[in-house]
Amino acid sequence: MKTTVIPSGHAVIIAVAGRLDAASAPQLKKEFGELLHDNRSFIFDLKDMDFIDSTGLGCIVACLKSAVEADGNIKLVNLQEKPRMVFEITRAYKIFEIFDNVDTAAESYN
Amino acid sequence: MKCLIICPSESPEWSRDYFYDLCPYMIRIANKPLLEFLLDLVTLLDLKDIVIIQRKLDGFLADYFRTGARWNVNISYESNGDTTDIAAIIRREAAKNQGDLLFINGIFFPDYDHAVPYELPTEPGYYRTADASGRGFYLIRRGTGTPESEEPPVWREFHAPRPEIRALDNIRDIYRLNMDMVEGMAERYLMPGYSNEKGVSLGQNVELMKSAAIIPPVIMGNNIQLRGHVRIGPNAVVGDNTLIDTGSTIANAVIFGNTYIGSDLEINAKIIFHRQLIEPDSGQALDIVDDFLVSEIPHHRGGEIFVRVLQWPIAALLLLGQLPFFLLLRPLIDAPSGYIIYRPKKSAPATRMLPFYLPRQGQHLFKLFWKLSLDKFALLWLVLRGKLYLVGNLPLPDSTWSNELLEDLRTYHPAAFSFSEMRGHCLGEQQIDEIYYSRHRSLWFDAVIMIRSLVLRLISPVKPIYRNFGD
Repeated sequence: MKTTVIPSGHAVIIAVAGRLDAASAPQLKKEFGELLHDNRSFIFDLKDMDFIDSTGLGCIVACLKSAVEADGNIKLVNLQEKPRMVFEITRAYKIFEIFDNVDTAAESYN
Repeated sequence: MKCLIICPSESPEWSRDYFYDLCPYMIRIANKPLLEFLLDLVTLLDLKDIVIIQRKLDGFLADYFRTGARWNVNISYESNGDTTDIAAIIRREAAKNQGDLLFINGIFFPDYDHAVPYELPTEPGYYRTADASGRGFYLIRRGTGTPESEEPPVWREFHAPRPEIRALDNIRDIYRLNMDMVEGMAERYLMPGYSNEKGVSLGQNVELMKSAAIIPPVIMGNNIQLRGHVRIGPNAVVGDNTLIDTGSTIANAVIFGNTYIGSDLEINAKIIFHRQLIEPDSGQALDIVDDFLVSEIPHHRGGEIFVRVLQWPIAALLLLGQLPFFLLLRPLIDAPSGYIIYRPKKSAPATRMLPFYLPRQGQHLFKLFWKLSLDKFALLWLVLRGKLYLVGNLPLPDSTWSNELLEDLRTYHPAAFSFSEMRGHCLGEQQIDEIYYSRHRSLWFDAVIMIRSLVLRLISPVKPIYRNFGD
């Protein structure tokens, strides 16, 4: 998994690429924890995330929980078809705001 | 008249993508193999002699349909070599067989009504009802003036009423057909299961917790367990040997047999085949890697015999390896700390005894005794005598919690080595482990448990599983 952090207006965009699974989830959690010190609004751009398992999903949920506890939020964009199926069957789509693109997600923070 | 069912030489690509090497005629539609619908139709037409022709006999069909006695027909199996051309096969079979012949060719669903009296044309000639790709029914009626000299034969259409051909060209067609069946089309066919409520068809041994809900229409197979707060339907087909765990909802979905669906999942407008989650509209398929979400419940029967045969020499080898150490150390440590009386079977009372050892103050030799798994010596002896499994469930005593646990277990095989012991949990803590084990039991899993248990003993602190027994 590779993450790229792009500061953008009101929110920090974290682009996640590759596999988000048991092996890579701790890395994302750690990087997110560091960013949460100075930021509150996040957009996870999942355009290039081609795989997610339950640990990866649990990691995104844990990030959301930490963000909400710090009065922040995470919005998801560009969720691809296969990862979306995991969000659907686990009902995770109900706890996230999911947008089609970064611009709409960023606007929603305004 | 003889009926020849010409199975395609190979599975169509779309079928291979989702159903791997499963013969497409064995794909279940509303819990019934596709070929069985054709057999029903053939018996409806009052035909008894059926030949199933495959390019290469794969055994799938013969294993399931055997001689056809269950359908009151005689089934034989033939290989048709490399010929794939339907015209060539018909020519060859017509030359080989003397009487009238009905050919059924290709992968399609026969659209008919069991209550309608279909009649085949009686006049000599060639008849067919087929789609553009050649899938369908072909009839050769012989008699005086048989048009055998016609080359190529002049095919006439079957007269109405006649069975129609419903194409199965992709996963969406399979899904749509299942949904049509559950929505009422199944009433036109002979289907397994019984119904005591409109729109609900249940197989044998369907167990529902009180809080589980069935919302018609649904079709459910045999040996299904629905845990608490599960919601099935509307429009759900659930295959045989399926377990749907607490709080999950299944709607507008097809769950093929031998599947475990984890807790609190929402399966909507999807197909699940083994551990594969399929979206029928897009054709996207996702292999679920997490066993506790979706997994395949393996068939145990063959493996069971293998396990029982294999465990004897392994137990004997372990015993032989332990013998010198046991003879040396056993006299130097105290007698067993106690005996546990366990249930030999799920439904039997606790009658059999096992010794267990607990560490005592100042007994350094006990640590070595434990690390070498010498406390298992008596248990391995019981394995040799067929009283215990080598790897399986923790032997459970009679108690309220173990009775509750036993109700949740699919299988109970009291054993010398168990998954919960490998995890280091003690008696009373291991419900989740035991449920997990009973749902995922396999030869490979058993081997992992045994090897890890032995290795972990060597490197971990002493943690007897019965350490809190009697608390």
